[in-house]
Amino acid sequence: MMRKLFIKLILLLGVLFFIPFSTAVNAQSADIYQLKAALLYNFTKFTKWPNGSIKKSMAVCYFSERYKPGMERLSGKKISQLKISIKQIKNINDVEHCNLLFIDKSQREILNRLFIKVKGKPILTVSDISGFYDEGGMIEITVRDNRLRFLIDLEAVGGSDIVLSSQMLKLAVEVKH
Amino acid sequence: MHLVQRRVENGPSVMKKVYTYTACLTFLFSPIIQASSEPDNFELSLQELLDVEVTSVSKQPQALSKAPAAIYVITSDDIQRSGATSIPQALRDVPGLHVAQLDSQKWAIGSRGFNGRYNNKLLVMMDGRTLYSPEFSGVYWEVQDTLMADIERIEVIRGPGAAMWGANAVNGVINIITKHSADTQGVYLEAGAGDYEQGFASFRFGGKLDGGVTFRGYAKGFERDSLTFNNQDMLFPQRLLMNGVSSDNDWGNVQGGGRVDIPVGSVASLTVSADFYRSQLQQTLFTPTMNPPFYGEFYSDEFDANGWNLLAKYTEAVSATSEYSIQAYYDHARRDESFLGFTTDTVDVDFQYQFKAGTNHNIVWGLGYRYISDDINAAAIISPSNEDASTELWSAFFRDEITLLEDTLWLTLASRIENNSYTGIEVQPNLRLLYKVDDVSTLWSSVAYSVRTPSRAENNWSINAVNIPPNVRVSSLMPAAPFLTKVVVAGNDDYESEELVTYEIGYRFTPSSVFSLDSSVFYNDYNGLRSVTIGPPDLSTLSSGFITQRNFFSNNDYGHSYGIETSAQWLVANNFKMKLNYSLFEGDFSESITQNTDAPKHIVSINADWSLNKYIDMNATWRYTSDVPALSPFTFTNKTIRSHHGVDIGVNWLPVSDVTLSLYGKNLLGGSYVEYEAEQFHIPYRVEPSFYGKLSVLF
Repeated sequence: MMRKLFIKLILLLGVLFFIPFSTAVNAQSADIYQLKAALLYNFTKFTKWPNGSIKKSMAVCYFSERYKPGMERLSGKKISQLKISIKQIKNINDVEHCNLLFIDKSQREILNRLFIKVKGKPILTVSDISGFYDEGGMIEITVRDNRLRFLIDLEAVGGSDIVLSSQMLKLAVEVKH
Repeated sequence: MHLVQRRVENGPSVMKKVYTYTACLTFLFSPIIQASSEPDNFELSLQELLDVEVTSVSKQPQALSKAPAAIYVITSDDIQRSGATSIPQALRDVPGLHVAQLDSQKWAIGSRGFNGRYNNKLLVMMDGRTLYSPEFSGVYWEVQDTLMADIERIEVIRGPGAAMWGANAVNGVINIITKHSADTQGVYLEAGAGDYEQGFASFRFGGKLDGGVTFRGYAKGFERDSLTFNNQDMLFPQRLLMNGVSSDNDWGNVQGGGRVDIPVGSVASLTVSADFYRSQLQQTLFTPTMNPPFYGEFYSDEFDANGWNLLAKYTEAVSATSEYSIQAYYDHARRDESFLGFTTDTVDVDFQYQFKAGTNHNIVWGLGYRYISDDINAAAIISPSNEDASTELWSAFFRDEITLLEDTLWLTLASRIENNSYTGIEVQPNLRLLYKVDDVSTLWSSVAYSVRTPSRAENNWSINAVNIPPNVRVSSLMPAAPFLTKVVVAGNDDYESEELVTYEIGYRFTPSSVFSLDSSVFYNDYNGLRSVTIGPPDLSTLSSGFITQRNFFSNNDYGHSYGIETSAQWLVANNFKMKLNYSLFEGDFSESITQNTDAPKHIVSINADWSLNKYIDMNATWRYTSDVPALSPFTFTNKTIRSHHGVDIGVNWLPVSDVTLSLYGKNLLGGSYVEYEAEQFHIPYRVEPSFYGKLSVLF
């Protein structure tokens, strides 16, 4: 009697465990870290860097720990024959050769120093730090109604000789001129 | 024969069990394997990407710190999921911390031992402001609050932080960091109620002005119910004295405040913040009296505590590798307790400069000045030698993080020099080494000397701790006298700082993206710990029927402690995370009757965090605290606080986006128990299961 009860209990537990995992798999939605990495990938397609600033490969850099798995999946992808190389940045001085630089929300305190470093350089700065595009950043990623959105500060972009396609500007929720 | 028979009979059912287990395991793990093969979003176009719904179902293991110190971080997400309604509640389950609720309002929080209501070996800061009361060099936790949803993270550093943060950061530093106002835009409302949480409501609004200026303002209020008093938790004869005395300890609080963040160009920023609070609290206190037969009584005391603070911080980058900041704050705190009423005003100014020298030196240095004016208004049992006292503190610190081997080996040299009003100049050096063994493991070690400078009580208060009835012997330290003995403990100028040398080794191991381990081992060597020296009896009052036993604070106690702290995280599936925190503590101290020295030998907590789907997530924690010795008020000895365990459960339901309905159960399944007891003047209360529900809305 007790044994049957025990087996039933275990089965019940097993089923209980099964439910959440299966729903997660079937959910018609996606993980925010990976989505943002995919968004960065798309930005590179709509951006024109000045001649000579892209070396052997497109350097996508990021200042973050938690975005590492998502970003690593970008490694080796191609944008019209050009390979993407992924680089995790731990030191502001190492951003020199980046084409695109993503700064994680948790890194707000480096912004002031970073803006001095990237000023006038062809580095597309993207971040999900709120207020990023108001404080000197180029593209701010935000979430509205559970959808990814982005804002562009063309003034900041202008100083770097980077050109963003009109298609991308159209999809931005705000563009500051 | 019988045994063999039974085994044979059980054979098939054992096999059945094995099958069942296997089936369950397959059940369990097959979805996990599926779960890890997420759809690839990289093939989506920009337009398509913007149409994908974002979820937070997926969990991420928290990245381990890279610092050569025992650091543990509590994130805003952890706070939200656990349903912590106060900062002490949020600190539960941090390895190495002993967090215990004393009554409705009061908490004892200690790192690596020395816990208590009047713990003085922990430095607590909120956004750079020291939450410190000079009366006993510790924290009144009940008046340290903010809107819980505005906390960005809480960093807990076990072990000494004195070289960086200054005296009293002896056994640990707790850094509460609130969110930038750009991260708290819009309107946020939360309200809820339960049994202990009788009712609470919070409101916050955030906005934006021209030039990237962002701001927020908040207001909150709550009523919390008394914890239960059971007279079996007290010794005879104090138990008798509680007859007919109210044990109410309920608490009401209102608080408000705000913050403005102003970008100054793209290289500098200015932050201004302010808070105010007013609490009404009730407590039961003990006071010595001249009335036989017990010469002491308990009474119920209702009192007010209020305060406000104003802080400004300006940070400017000078180059890509250098930056300075200037911070100033004013903090006003007032307590109208009948046994200790005071007003404290603190002014603090700090300057900090960080820069890179050459390619291998990361240097930070700073200067600080603090002025504290401390005015005693009421003191039933405490007589200060001067009612109005002000103290000054000058400090300078220097830290150099040296890269010895690129990306492999770092050495940190740091020291702080301080000049305080009581003991003069104190130098607190620290040496740390960080070694990255390979991509998955890191080792660090540290040696530090730190001091705990005297509090005002230890320097110039006289405390009438207890009156001993004639012919009663309460301690082996004092013989029984044939008269009433009034025991007074006196602070004095000869009282010095307590000293600590700490040795630490830490190990971090991240073998995969789903598992990590963070461990540290410490050895603490204490000297000059607070003790009490028995003075000669003062017979001058004999004609009035009593003698005065005047004792003095001294520095004759010593001891050592060691222990292990471990935190392991495991991402079982992409929507299910488990965390195990464990600490082991051993202490060996000269018999102290003035402060608690030991932490519980074992503290364990296991946390499961599970997102069922995008609407519901659940959080459950089981925790266990083993027996711990604690000072026994009135008897000058130690008693044992019994081990206890409990379960916290939280369910968050998001029916539509930006609306969350939550239900929390706290301290379940453990019965009712005393978590810890205040060292003196208070009575023990029991922690019991409690529930509350909450609605939060973001506009």
